Formats: sequence, C-alpha cells, structure tokens
Amino acid sequence: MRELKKQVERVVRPIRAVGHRKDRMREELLAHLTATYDEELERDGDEPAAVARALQRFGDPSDLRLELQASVPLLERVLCVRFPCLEWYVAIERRACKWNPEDSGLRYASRVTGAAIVFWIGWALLGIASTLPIALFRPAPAGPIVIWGAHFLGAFIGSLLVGCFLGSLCIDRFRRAILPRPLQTKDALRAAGWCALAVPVAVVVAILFRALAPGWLPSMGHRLNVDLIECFLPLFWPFVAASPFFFAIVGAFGLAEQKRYEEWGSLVLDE
Amino acid sequence: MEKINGDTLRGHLDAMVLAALSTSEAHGYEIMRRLEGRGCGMLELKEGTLYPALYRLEEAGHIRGRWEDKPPGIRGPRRRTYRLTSKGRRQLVQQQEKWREFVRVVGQLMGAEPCVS
Repeated sequence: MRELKKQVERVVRPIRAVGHRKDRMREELLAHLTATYDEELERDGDEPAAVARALQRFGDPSDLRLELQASVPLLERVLCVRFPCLEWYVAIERRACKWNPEDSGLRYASRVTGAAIVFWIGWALLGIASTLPIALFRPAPAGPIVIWGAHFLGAFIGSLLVGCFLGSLCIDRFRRAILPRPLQTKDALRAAGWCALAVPVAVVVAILFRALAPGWLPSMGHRLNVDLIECFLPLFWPFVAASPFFFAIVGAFGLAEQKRYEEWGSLVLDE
Repeated sequence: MEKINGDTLRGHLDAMVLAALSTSEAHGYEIMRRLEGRGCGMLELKEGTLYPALYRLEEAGHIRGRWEDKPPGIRGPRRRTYRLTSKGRRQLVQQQEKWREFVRVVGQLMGAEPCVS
C-alpha cells in the first residue's frame, strides 16, 4: 500500500494546483491503484508482483503528471507556482506551527509567535538594510525618516505579534472544537464562538498599533507630509469584520494542510 | 493483430469516456473495465491517463462526479463516481456523428468503401 501511495505522490506532488484539487487527485488515483492491485493479487497471491503489475498498468508518473497538470485551470497553475527559495522557510514553519491536540494551547501559541518573530525579524532586517543607504548618504532630513520608519515598523510588528499570540490561542480552541467527527451542532457552535473572539483580538491589535505607532511622517521637502494613522483608520472596520473569517480559514485549512502533509507530504520519494 | 495504444487513441479518449458512461454512472476503475470490455481486449491504455480526461470532462460540464460514501468501519481511499450530464449527452451524440463521418471519409480514402457523395 505504501508503494502505491508513493507512486501517487510521485505523480501529484509536483503538480501546481490548490491543495483541495491535489487531495482529490491523490484519493482518486490511490483508489484506482488499490483496485488494480487487488485484482492483480487475486491472480496469483504474489504481493510484490501484484504491486509491480499495478504500477505498470497505471503508466509512467511523469507522463501522467503532465496530463494532470494540463487539466488544471491556467489561473490556478499561475497562482500555485512554487518558489524553491521559500521551501526552507515553509519547512521551519511547518515544524514550528505543527498543531498537536495533546499539546497545551499556550505552548502552541508560543511556538507560532516564535516562528512569527523569526519571520518578522527577517523582514525588519531587510527593511533596515534597504534604508541604510538613505541614512548614510542623504543629508539632514534622512535621519528622522529612518527613526520614524523603525518606530512605525516596530509598532506594526509588535501589535501583529500580540495578535498572533492571542489568535493562536483562539485557533487552538477552534481546532479542538472541530476535531470530533461527525461534527455535532454544539461543537460547531463552540467553534463559531472561538472564531467570534477574533473581533476583540482585532480591536486589541488595532488599539495597540494606534498607541505604539508614530503619527506624522516627517516632511521630506513638503513632498510627503501625512498622518499615516489617519490613513489606516478606514481599514479598521474591514479588518475587524474579516478577522473571524480569517480565524476560521486559518484554523480549518491549516489543520487540513497539516493532515495532508502528515499523510502525503512526509512520504520520502526515491525518484 | 497489434493492440491499440494510448497514442493512437489520443484525441478520442474523452468521447470514449462519454460513451462508457452513457449506460450508467461509474467510477474510474469501472470506466476502464468498460472501455476494455468494449475494446474486445484490443485496447492498451495506461490506466492513469483516464483521470486527466475525467477532469477535463468535468471541468467542461459534460460529466458530474460525486464521492461514494464508504460504509462505516471501512478504511481506505474513497472512489469518485461520474455520470453524464445533459450537456455531456449532447456532446456524445455530436462526437458519435463526427466519428461516423470520419470513418466514412477515411474509409473512402483508404479504399475500403466506395465513394458516396
């Protein structure tokens, strides 16, 4: 059975498509291969020979992969393009953000926030590196702009991290609620309740950001002289309204992605 | 006689799948068995190549699929059953007409049939 799964994964893993579509392909191809294997096994009862014949009847993985890839809509293919340079980050994130129902919510939230800190520190360093030339080579007005930028970035990252911690606690509870199968109404209501907690979390994040972030951007020769906090205000209500949906999507899809990885993505393929 | 392989069938597989589903709904494995049965053992098709055709046909609205429910306690991958839609039936009739025309013209070209204008 493992050999059959590996063959399916050889075909499906490199395909550029959304996870849901790839799951469907995996399940359907595996069902077919399993039926073929059972049929071959009935002939002489030789398991390795039955696997070999089933794989031979199934066809070459690379040919099949090309045909399946062509059946994916173009837009989806473009959106699901893979960036090899990000694979290492995805691997770290997958390990750090792995959700385990036997783990405490507090530990899960701490791990996720830790991963977010590493991620944002990377971005902050990139931001600092890109503003350094301005600070070094521009005359007088550059200094305050760089300090303002660092202050703004710090406030943004700080409030996001608080949101990440509180949000992870809620998502942990949400996942515990949706774990039992079949899902009962009271579990669904509990899960919805944990999603609704996203609203106060979003408000806390917004207030924190408002309190920490600097307002006026120092004038750059009268070209840019605006209160960025005022610019962010129209986003407040959409941000608050979208947050429960965000929690539900991260909670449910993240869990599905983790299960998918544990079942398929962790298979080691010897090409 | 040499068997008919996937390369020879390229371009006709979608219509063959529609024809296989014209009697009743079926899952991929069953569709393959029907094709083999109708091909009188002369088909040599790699079984995996059926699925891109099924996805194309479903995307085009010619067939509709649904997951089969597994009885409680039975583990393993679920099968997806496909059935023809009304659009698919119309497509099948069109394809059958085109095929008859193709056979007639090529038959004339190959000298197997007298030319009928």
